[in-house]
Amino acid sequence: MTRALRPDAGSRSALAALAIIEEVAATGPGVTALEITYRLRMSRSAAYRLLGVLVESEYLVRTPDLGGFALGRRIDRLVGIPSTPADRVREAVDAVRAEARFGIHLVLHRPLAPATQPVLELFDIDPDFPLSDPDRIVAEPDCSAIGRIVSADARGERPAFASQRGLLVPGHGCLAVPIRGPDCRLIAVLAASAPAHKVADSDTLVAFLAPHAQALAVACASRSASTDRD
Amino acid sequence: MLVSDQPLPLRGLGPRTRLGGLDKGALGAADVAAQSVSAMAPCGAATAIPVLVAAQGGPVVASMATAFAITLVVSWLVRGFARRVPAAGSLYTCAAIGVGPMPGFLTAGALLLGYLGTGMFAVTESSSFALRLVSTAGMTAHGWLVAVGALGFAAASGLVLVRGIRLSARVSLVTEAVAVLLVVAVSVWLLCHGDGHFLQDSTLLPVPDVDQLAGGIAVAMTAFVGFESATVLSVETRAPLRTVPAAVGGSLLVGGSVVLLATLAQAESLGGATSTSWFQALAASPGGRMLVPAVYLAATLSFFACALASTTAAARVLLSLAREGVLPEVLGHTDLRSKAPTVGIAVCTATVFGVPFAVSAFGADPTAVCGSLVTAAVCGYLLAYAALAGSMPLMLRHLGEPSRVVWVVGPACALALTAVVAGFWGLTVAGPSWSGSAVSAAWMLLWAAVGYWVRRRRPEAFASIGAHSGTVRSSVWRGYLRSAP
Repeated sequence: MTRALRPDAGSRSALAALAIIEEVAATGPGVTALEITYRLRMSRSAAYRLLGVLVESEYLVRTPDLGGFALGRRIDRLVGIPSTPADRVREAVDAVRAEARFGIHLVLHRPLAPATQPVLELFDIDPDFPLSDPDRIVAEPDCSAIGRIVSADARGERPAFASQRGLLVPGHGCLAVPIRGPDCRLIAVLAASAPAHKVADSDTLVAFLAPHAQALAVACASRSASTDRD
Repeated sequence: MLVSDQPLPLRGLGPRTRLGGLDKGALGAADVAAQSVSAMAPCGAATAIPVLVAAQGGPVVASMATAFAITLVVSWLVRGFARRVPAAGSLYTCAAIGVGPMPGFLTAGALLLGYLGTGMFAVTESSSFALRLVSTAGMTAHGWLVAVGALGFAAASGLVLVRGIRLSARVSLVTEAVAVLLVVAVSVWLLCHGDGHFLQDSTLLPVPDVDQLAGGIAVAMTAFVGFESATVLSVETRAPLRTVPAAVGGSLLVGGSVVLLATLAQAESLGGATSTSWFQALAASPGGRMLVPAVYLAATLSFFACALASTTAAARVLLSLAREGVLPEVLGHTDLRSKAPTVGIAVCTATVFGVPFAVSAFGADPTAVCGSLVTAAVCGYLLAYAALAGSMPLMLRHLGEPSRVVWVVGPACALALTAVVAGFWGLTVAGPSWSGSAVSAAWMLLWAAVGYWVRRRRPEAFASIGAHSGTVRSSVWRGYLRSAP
């Protein structure tokens, strides 16, 4: 290539960054910086610098063990992976979990479900703090805060929250807040399962959950609209 | 879409990290830089350290400049860590990732010694300068005023810290900015009104003796320690991998420049046969006398911000250790409203304000107490820096980014720092601040004993030391999370 046709330094860096993204995508999560330098025949310093910039700008992430790299969330837009309504609901629940050191669960309410199916769907259960007895929560509404919200709704009541302490696990409890759609219909329940002393301080817990419940109401409403269309 | 369906390198990817619950992304670049600058307390260092170096017999300007150069190398290594791993555990997380849990735990002990020691020193100095300020205003500094002042500082500090990191960072930023501007103004005034020849002589003073220079450097390092403390706020910073390294480097340059400027301003009075502080130099002229209250005010504010920053940093280190399961779980508690580690802050505030108060109540000499506290703190900082420098090449290897330059610079820097800390310890243990050296050695031995005990009682928790707020489910490409077809 003649000098006039060779890309300038900035363009070369941009191309090298794209090549790194391509290499991480092709190799799969966990590829190390050193492997990338060997495969792309780049200098270590240039590769490390570009990897740092790509991680800072969220095109790449380090794997949880810090040993390698994987594609970051910004790649979604690059390759056009659409965000589904269910994704948005899960991400809204994860946003609550990122701030909480206790279990955060989202349960969907399906009042019009066929009689053979339960009214409650355990949509997103916290993987770090799993439910102690999920079957019982679905089968016996009154033993859990989630079920109490649903029972109250069935009676035409509109409680701001419901809670229980020590019914399922001694020393632990649960506080649930309703999530309502635009027509005020109960569409889901956001629940926090935590040590009993945290659940006892309901004002603080409700104040913490309330803004997240509003964000979830929007996400759940769009999900139920898309489900209805399907 | 289950975590267990994910490819092996992404196993362990969850919705939250072990450092969840803090106010994620709340701080900007200025707030984080304020944390580092406040922990350095450049105004306090500018007023106190050059005098100590001169008292040591070392060449003031050469010692301070060499110490600054060493610190710049350490800051380069710290930035290398902060650019890659966001962690509230700061340097100890680096040591744990690179070398292993026990070196990491020991580094945590050294860091806590540094932060808590500096905090206690800052509280004592802040009260002391506040009293001097009160005296210059014509009021008598009664004994009860000292107690009221210290309690007032404790209450104000606790209130600010518990209200959340945004408020405490802003308070530190404003306080430190005012203090730095005051010290710069005073330094410039002194340089303009001084004898140029004398300044030149003291700057170019031939180095008398290598031992004296080494002792001077060891003492001078105390003026720059604390610059790395922005790293403890990595979890709470927006774009931490970009912001925190910039804050660490920038704060050292700003704080270091202020200290060096003040050193030059004092070099005239410290370079000759007499070694007097700049208060005496200022008091010698009618114009300068007007500036003495300004210096007192600057030092009071600077040390108060330093106490805030040190408490903030120590509380984060405790939180990180608690979340790893090594210290009691309660120390990892974060308030749901303010998202501040309230229990850790309460413990650190009680220590930082309570210990100097108790020591004063027993009638100890404040000057000796300050000397001992700063000695213990500096031993802690230097040990932590040496551990960082030594573990950096191994941490980079663990991250799959080995670097030949770091393999040379890291161990060399660790050796130099170990020599400095050994020299400093030897120097102080034979001096009036021997209790500080003794306490630092006792603390590290006790901490090591705790480490061995925890390793035996909770081996899994101990092995998991090195918590960082890295990748979570919401930060990876959605394609990894889709179920396999």
